[in-house]
Amino acid sequence: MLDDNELVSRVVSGDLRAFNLLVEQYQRLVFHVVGKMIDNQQDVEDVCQEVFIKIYRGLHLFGFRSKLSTWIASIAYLSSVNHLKKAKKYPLAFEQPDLEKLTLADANLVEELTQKNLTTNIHKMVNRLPPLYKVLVNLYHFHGFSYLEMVKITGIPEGTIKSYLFRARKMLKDQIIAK
Amino acid sequence: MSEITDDLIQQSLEAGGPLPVDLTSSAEKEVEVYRVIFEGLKREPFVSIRPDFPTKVIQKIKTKNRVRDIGFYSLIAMITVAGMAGIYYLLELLDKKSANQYVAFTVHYKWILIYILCSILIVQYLDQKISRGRSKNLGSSNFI
Repeated sequence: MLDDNELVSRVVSGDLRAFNLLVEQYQRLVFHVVGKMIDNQQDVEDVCQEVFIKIYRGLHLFGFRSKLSTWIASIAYLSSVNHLKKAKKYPLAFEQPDLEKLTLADANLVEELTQKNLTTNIHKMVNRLPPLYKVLVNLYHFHGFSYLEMVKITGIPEGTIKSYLFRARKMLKDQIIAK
Repeated sequence: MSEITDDLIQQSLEAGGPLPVDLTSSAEKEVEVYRVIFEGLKREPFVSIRPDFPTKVIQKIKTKNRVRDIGFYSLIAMITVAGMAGIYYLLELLDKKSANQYVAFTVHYKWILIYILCSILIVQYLDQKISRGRSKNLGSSNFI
């Protein structure tokens, strides 16, 4: 397993095998970010391909000013935003949910919220959150990015990110308790 | 027995710090639900990625590189032809006789000139291939 420094220098020198390794290493991160912002599966795959092509073309400028994962996640996020802007769906990704009307879970889902199927059901509920909330929840909890890294990825102020995360988790909690 | 706010529960769970012990039953339920949520969110959400995705990305890059290379070489060829035409028109303005000699020379040695141009482009292409191959070989010797 190559470390990021080694991987980047080989890709920059034109080694496509190293780039293949990079894609395998970071494809889950990219798909998670893009998949939370964009609904259509074909669009998700197209945008993810575009992200990696941008990474390939831009890696010589990377310079390790941040972690490689942070840089890649930021390209994935910005590419998704650009895609939404072109499709004129951009405002929807940032829409503040109407908590009165938002239903994240149906009764069956909550009934089944046992340890056994915890992952599936929590993530089903997360998938009903607004796109930006989904991305932030995923970046923070699963990928383990810090608030500062998430600021670099999204360009959103730290206070706003914290607020969105808190709201997202509160929504999940309220829905579970209400049932 | 005390209540506790959502913010405090979340901050405590994020920091991994202790929560107050003497909570009401509804507060305890909230804390427990938040724990379940925090635990659940740490696990990977389902994502569908085709096994050939990395291959497709690399294919696309190779295709774009090829198109870019063809474009580059075509541009070199066009610049060469335009340059030669430019020389002719310049000579036409300065000295018609020289211009005619230039055309005669070019036509007489056209295959040599085409050969020289193609050689330069082939050498350029091979040089790129060899230097890419060299950098891959240097890399592969350290592959684990």
